[in-house]
Amino acid sequence: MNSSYAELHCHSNYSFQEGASSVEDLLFRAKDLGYRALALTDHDNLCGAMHFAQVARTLEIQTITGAEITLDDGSHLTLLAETQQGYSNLCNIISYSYISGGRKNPAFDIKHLSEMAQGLILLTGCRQGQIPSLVTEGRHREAEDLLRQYLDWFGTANVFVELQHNLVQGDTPRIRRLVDLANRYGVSPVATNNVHYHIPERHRLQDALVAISHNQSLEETHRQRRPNRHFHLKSPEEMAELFLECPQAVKNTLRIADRCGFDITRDMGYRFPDYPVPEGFTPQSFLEHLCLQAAKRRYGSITDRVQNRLDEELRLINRHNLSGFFLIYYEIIQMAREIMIELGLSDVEIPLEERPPGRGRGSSVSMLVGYLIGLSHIDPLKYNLSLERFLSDDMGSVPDIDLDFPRNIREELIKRVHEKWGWDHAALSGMISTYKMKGAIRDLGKALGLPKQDVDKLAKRVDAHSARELKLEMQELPEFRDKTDAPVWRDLIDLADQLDGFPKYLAQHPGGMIISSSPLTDMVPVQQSAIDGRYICHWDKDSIDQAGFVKIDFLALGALSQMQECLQLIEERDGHYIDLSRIDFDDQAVYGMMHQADTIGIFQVESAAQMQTVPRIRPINLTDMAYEVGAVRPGVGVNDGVTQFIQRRTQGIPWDYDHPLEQRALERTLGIILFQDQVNHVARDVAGFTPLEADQLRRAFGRKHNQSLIAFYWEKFRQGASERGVPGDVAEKIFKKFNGQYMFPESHAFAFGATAYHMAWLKYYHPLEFFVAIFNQQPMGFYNTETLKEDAKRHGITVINPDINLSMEKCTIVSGGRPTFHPPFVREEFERYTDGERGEPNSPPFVKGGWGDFRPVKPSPRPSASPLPEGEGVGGEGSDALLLGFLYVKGVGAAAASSIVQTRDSGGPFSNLGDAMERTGLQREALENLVAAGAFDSLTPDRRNALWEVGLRYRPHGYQQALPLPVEQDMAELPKQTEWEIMMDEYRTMRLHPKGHLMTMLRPYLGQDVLSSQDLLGRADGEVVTVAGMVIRRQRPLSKAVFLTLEDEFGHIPIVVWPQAFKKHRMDIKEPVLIIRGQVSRREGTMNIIAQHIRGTQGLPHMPKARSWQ
Amino acid sequence: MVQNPREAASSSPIRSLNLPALIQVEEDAHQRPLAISLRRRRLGVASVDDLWEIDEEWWRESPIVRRYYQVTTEDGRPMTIFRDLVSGEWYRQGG
Repeated sequence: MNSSYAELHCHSNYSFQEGASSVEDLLFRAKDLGYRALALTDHDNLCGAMHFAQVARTLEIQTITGAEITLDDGSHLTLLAETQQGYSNLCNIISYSYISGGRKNPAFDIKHLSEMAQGLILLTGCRQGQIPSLVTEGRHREAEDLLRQYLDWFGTANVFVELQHNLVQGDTPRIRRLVDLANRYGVSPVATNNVHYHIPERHRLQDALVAISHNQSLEETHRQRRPNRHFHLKSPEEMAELFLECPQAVKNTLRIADRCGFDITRDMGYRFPDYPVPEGFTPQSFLEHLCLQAAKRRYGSITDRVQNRLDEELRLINRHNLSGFFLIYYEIIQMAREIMIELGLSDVEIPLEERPPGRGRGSSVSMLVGYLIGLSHIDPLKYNLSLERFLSDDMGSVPDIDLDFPRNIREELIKRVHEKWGWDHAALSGMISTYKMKGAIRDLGKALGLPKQDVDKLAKRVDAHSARELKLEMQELPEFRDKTDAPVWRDLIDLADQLDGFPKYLAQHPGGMIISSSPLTDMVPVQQSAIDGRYICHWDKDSIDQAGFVKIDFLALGALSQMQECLQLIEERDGHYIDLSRIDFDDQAVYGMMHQADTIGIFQVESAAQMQTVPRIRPINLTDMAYEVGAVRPGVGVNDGVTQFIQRRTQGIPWDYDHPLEQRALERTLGIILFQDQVNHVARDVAGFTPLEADQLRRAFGRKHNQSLIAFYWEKFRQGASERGVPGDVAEKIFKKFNGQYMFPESHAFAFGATAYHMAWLKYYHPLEFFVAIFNQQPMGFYNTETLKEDAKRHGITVINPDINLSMEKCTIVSGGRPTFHPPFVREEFERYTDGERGEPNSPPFVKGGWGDFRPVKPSPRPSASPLPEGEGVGGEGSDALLLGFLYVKGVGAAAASSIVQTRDSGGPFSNLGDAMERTGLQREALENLVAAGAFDSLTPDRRNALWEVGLRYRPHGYQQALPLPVEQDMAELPKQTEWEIMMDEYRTMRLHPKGHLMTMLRPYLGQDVLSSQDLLGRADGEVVTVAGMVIRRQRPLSKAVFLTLEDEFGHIPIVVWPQAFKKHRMDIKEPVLIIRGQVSRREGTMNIIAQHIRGTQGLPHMPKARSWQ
Repeated sequence: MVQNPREAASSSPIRSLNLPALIQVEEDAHQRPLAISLRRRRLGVASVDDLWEIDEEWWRESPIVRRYYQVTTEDGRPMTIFRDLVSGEWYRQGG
C-alpha cells in the first residue's frame, strides 16, 4: 500500500484509563486511512501487544511492538522493538520497571537503559519526555547532554527526536527547538501523534477516563485532561500538513517501520521448557519409564492392550516433542502430592495414581500417559476413550491440559512453583478485568458529576450485563425514563456504550501459569500481582495461547475441595478411602437419581437449567455426561441448540446437515455445535480455514466491539465456502451458528462430566458426608445453605443447630447424637449424659431442646463395591446427623471459633452460660448470635432468657472480666420466643433454620388456593395455579426471559417470567418471598410455571439470599 | 483600633478582566489569519509563533471549542487571537 505515514506512538485501551479505543477500532481505522504499518505503544505494558498483532495480521497491516515507558523521574520514553533482541529487552525493561517501582507505579531507572538498548529504537518521547520538557523549559545544555547519552547507549542510527503536534499550546515552538537540537547532533527527527483514540469524537471518552483515573469529575480535572480532540489517528495528509516545516519527520516514520521487522506473532523464539532427567535417560525414555512403572502398579502387569496404547501415545508425544511438556506436569503433580502428604491428606506409602492431588481436564483425560503420571482420574482403556480427538499426527497446537485442585492445595502449589522456578521463569497468566454495566455507570456517573445517589440507584437497578444496553434499561425504569435525553445523562448513555468491555486493569487469572526454561521476561513482561509473593505476566490466556506458550492451569475447584473433604469424612467414618477412579461409571442407580433432577450440590448439573435438561437428555454413561454438561452453555443455548439436540437425541426427530461438509465435525453431536472445538472444525471443513485462522475466527466472536472483524471473517468464510461448492445462503446459515457466547471444549466437558458423575455417586451412596462437605466448603455452587439443608432433609439427613459443648469450628457428623471424631473429653462427658453405647441422649442439660424430636435418618444406600465395617464406635445409623459448626454463626470468626474449641478441650465442657462467657471471653455480638443460633440451648433452654443473661454478665473488653456471680436476682419474666421469632433469629445469624422451613410457617396465612410444590405434582399442563415460596434463584440469561426458582417446605418450583410479565413486575421480583399466579407448563418430564402475576410479601428482613446470575 | 465600617471594601460590582474582544480577521482558504483589524487599522500577520486548540466543557450547554493563534503582527506586536469554532467568530484574547 502506498502510504506516506506510519503512526509510531499509539495507545489502545490497554493503556488503562488512558487509551479510549480498542485495538480493533484503531486497526480498522488505520486500514481506512491507508496505513501500512502501525505501532502499539501502551503505557508500561504489553498487555495488548499479541492481541493487536493478531488482528493486524488478519488485516494485513504491519505491526510494530513497542511501549511508552515511565522513567523513575516520571518522564516518558517511547521504545520500539526492531529485532527479537530488542523485544526481549523491552520485556525486561518493563518487568524491571514494576519490580523496582512497585505494582502500581512502574518506574525504570534510566541508568540501566544502556544494558538493554540493543535491538531497540528510541524516540525521545511525548511532551512529558525528558528532552522535550528540558527544551520547553529552555534548559538546552541539559537536553543536549541527555541526547548525547542516548546516542552513546543506542547509537545515532537508533535514536530519533520525537516531534508531536497535537495543536497544544507550545507545540510549535517546542518542535522548532527540537528540530534545531536534532540537526545540531545529526539525529533524525520523527513525527508521531501520541494517539489515544481512533477518531476525534472519542476525545470525550478519553477525557472521562482521565477523570476516572484521578477519581475526580471532568470539572475538577481541567489540568490533567488533554486540551483538545487532536490525539486521534490522523491521515497521512493531515500529518504532512502539520509538519510542513519538517517533512523529513513524516518520511522517517516509514524508515522506522521498514526497519522494525520483528513480528510478535512469528518471531518470539519460544521453546518448550526443558526437563532435567536422571543420568542415562532422555526426556522421552524417562517418561516411558515412569509410565511403565505406574502401569505395573495399576494393572498388575503390562498387557498387550496397555502396551499398544502406551506405544501409540509415546510415539505421538515423541513426534510432537512433548515429553518435556508432560514431565513438567508430572513434576507439578509430584509437588502437589508432597503438599497433600504435608497436609495429612495422603501418605508417602500411597502411590500417586491412587490418590491424585488434582485432576486434569482436557487432553489428559483421554490419555493413558495422563492417567499413569497422575494427571487424570479416569482409566481411558476402561472407558474406551479415543485418543484421536486430543492427540493426533496433524495436531496444530499443544494439547490443552488444565489441572483442577482443591483450594488449599492450589494456594500452596502456586507458592512452591514460584519458589522452584523463580518469578522470571514461572508466572501466573494475566487476566484483563473489563468494564461492564455497573462499573461503567458508577465511574462515568462520577466523572460527569451526576448526583451520587442517582448514580447509585441506577447502578443498583439495572439488570443487564452489557453497558451497551443502558438506554434500554433506563427506559424500563420509571424514575430514569425521562432522563435518557436529558443533558449529561445523554452523555452517560453514549459513553457507557463506548466504554463497555474496555480493559480496566491487569488482574490475575484464577490459575493459569506459564513456565519456561529460558527467562520468561525475555518473552513477556512479568510483574507483581496484588497477592504478595505472586507474579503475573502481561498476557491473558488468549495471548498466551497465541504465543504457543505452555500454559499450565491450576484451578481451584470448590467441587474438588468438597470431594476431598467428603472422601476424608467417609474414611474417618468407614475406615477406608474410596478410590474414585475405580468406581463403576455405569451405575444406573446413580444416573437414575440424576434423571429425577435430584442434583442439588452436584458439580455442573445442579443449576436449574441442568435440572431441566438432565431428565430430558437422560445420561446413562460418561459420554452422555459430557454431552449433558456441554449442552447447557450459553453458546449452545443461543441458537436453540439444546432443545434441538434433545429432540434429535430422545425423540428421534429427523434432521440433516446444512451441508454435507459439516458431517465430520458434527456427526457425533447430531448436527449441533455443542463444543467450541466444533466451531474451528466446521470453519476448516466448510470454508477451508487453516487451524490458526479457524481459531482466530472463534476468538473474534468473543471480542467486544467486533462488528468489523466479524464482517471481515464472514467475507472470508463466504469465499472459502463458495470455493468448496457451498451456496451463499447455506454458508450464511452455517456461519450464523457461530457466536461469541461461552461453550466448553469437548475435552473439558468430558473431564467435568466425570467429576459430576463422581459427585453424584457420592451423593447417592454417602449423602451425609456429601452434605457435611458442601456445608463446610461454602460459598460454592448454586444454592444457599437453607436450600442445601432442605435437600439434605429430603435425603434423610438431620441438620442440628450448633452446640457450645459439641460443635467444632466446621460442621461435623454426629453419630447417634455424638461427634464421630471428637477429642476424648467430649466423648467422656458425653458418656456421662448418655445411656452407654447406643449414645441416645437421655437427659438435660446436655440436649434440652436438642435433636430428640428429629425424624430418624433413613439408612443410606450403600455401594456393593465398598461394604462398610460394622460397629467400631460408629453410632447407630438411625441417628447420624449434621451438626453445624461455630463458623456458621455470624460474628464468630475463625479465631473465636477455635478459641471456644480450645477452651473446651483444655478445661472441659461449659457448665452454664456464665462459665462459657468467663472462660472464652467472647465478644458480645458473637455471644448473642450464638445464643440466637441455639448454641446454648443445651445449657439455657430459653433463648430470650439467655440473651438477658448475656446482657447482665457482659463486660466489654478492658473492663473487669465477667465473674460467675449469681444473676438470678436480676433475671426477668420474659415472654417466650415464638417459633417465628426463633426462625428469623436463625436466619439472621446463620442464614438457615435447621428445624423447619419458612413456608411451613407462612402456609396458614396464605389462601387455600396457594398450592405447594407437592400439590403441583397432580396439576395438568395448562392449568392456572397460584404458588408461593422463597426465591432461591434469579437468572436472566441471554434469551431475555427471567427464570426464578421458588422453594417451599416440600421442594422447588421453577418459574419462567416472559418479558411482558417481567416488565410489569420487575421490582416485585426482587422480594425475598413471592406469590405467583401462572400457568402450568409440562414437557418431557419437566414442569414450569409461566408467571402471569407476581407479588411479594412485605416485611421479612434477614432472609437467606437468592443467588442471582445474569 | 480601626473600627469595622460594616461595609463592603468596594462598592463596585465584581468585574471580569481579560474578556476576549470580538475582532475582524481576514482568513486564508484554510481559515488561518492573514490580517487583523484593530481600531480600524489593518495589521498584517507577519508570523504564526504558535497555534493550539481547546475543546472544553463539552458536557455543558455551551461547549468551548476554539483555535488559538499566537501571532506577531507586521508592526512587531505579539498578539493572541482565536477563532470560536462553534460560531466562526474571531476574538482577541485578553490585554
